[in-house]
Amino acid sequence: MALDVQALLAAKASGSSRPSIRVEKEDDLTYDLGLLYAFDPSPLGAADAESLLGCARDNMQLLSNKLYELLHAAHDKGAIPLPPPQFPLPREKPVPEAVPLTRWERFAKEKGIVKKKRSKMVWDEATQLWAPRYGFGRANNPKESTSDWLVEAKPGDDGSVDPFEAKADERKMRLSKQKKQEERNRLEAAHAASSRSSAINLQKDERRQYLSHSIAAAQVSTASAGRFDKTVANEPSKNKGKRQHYETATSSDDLRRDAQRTASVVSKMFPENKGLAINREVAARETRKAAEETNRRAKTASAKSKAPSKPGKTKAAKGAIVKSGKGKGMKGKGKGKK
Amino acid sequence: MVRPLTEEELKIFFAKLAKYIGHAIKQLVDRPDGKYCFRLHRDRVYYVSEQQVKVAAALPREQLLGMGCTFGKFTKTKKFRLHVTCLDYIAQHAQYKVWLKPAAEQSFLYGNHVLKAGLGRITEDTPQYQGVVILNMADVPLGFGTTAKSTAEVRKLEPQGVVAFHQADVGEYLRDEETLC
Repeated sequence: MALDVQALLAAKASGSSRPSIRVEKEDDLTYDLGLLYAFDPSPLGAADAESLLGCARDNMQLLSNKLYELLHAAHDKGAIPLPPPQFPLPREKPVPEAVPLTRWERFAKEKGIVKKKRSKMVWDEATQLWAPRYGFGRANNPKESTSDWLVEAKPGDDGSVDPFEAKADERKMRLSKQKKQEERNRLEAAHAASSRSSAINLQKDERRQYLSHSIAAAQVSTASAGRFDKTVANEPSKNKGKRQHYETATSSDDLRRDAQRTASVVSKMFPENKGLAINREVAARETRKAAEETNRRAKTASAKSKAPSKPGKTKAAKGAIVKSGKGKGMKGKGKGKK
Repeated sequence: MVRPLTEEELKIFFAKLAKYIGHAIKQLVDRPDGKYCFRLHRDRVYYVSEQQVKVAAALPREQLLGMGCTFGKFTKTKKFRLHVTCLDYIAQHAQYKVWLKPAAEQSFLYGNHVLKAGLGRITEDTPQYQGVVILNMADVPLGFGTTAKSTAEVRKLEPQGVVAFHQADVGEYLRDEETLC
């Protein structure tokens, strides 16, 4: 038995009150299905409400037909897979900046460590039930567990350390370390952001804080923990924020200490063995005097030698004669040239 | 609160004081006639006997104006400035001195430098930039300053050349009466 499908459809269409999905119109629309967009280039005939409504319905029908075509081609019939949009639309908001990676994330990326998805529920050994990993009523909660009310001493333990306290301390240390690292990540992120754009005041504030933190760290990062370092000009003080305690003016202990300190400062300024200390001015004067004395002696000696005297009287006189004789000889040469 | 000076403060203070009196600081610290000490109050250094300190320390900080002898004050940058009030002690122990001619006394007391023209006498072998006490010819101390030239250079100086820079003079008791304490 052959069915006349065309006839059936026509009968159905004529019988139905709903309009047909077939559109009696040339399909000259341009589509961008990714954006659910269709554009009809044909000019409008009459501008009355009825014809406009009819035109809009027809175009909408054409667009939905296209979409159903996509659904027909898809494997999963639950959703229509839209193609990527072709029409470039401008963004409303600027592109969000990439969130800076934390130290661990950077390290993990470098090493290729991928985060594993962990189940939300875990098996609680004590209650033999599934319970959430974190939060209210969590599994294996150490605070509620009855298993560690007793801690077995190890062979090396001498009993001086409270194991419960030690455990609590360790946890506290862990938490504070984590907090410190988070703070560091936050500051580094702020620093990186501020170095990219220094427009925002809040970032400026954070940058200043970061700077002062790093200066404080650098000040104590030498072999002597900053004790014997020379301070640079305008360097912030190392004991900034630490309250300085002064001695009292009247307590007998402090009086004694003050007297000692004063005496030690004075004795360092003026050491007792003064023979070692040299006054530069005095020393310079003495040498100058000595030099003048020798010069004067030499002068008088040469003056004596110029005067006629018997040779070979003393050693010094001999030397002087020889010297003056040489001088005379040179003089004679000069004359000869003339 | 009245308090003793810390070691750094002592070093700064004594370094300044030693420019004028040298090792005579020892005589200020160890006195035969009783225990004397340096105390800090409102950034000023006072030279006081220990008995006086005990009395002064009992007073509230706001009400205590001063005690003993003011030697000077620490500036906000932690340098030390000697005040004229310490002239009595400095003049007693000074190593180097400059004497003024009577005609130059008034000019100095108005805060001017000591010129060669006003110079009566100067200690032999005074180096340059040495702290000196300035006296009149009757040996009355008028103030103190720093030499601009050494004694040898002063001899060659023209009459209007500066011999000693003015630092403090007794005229300040009148000029800076309200701030001097």
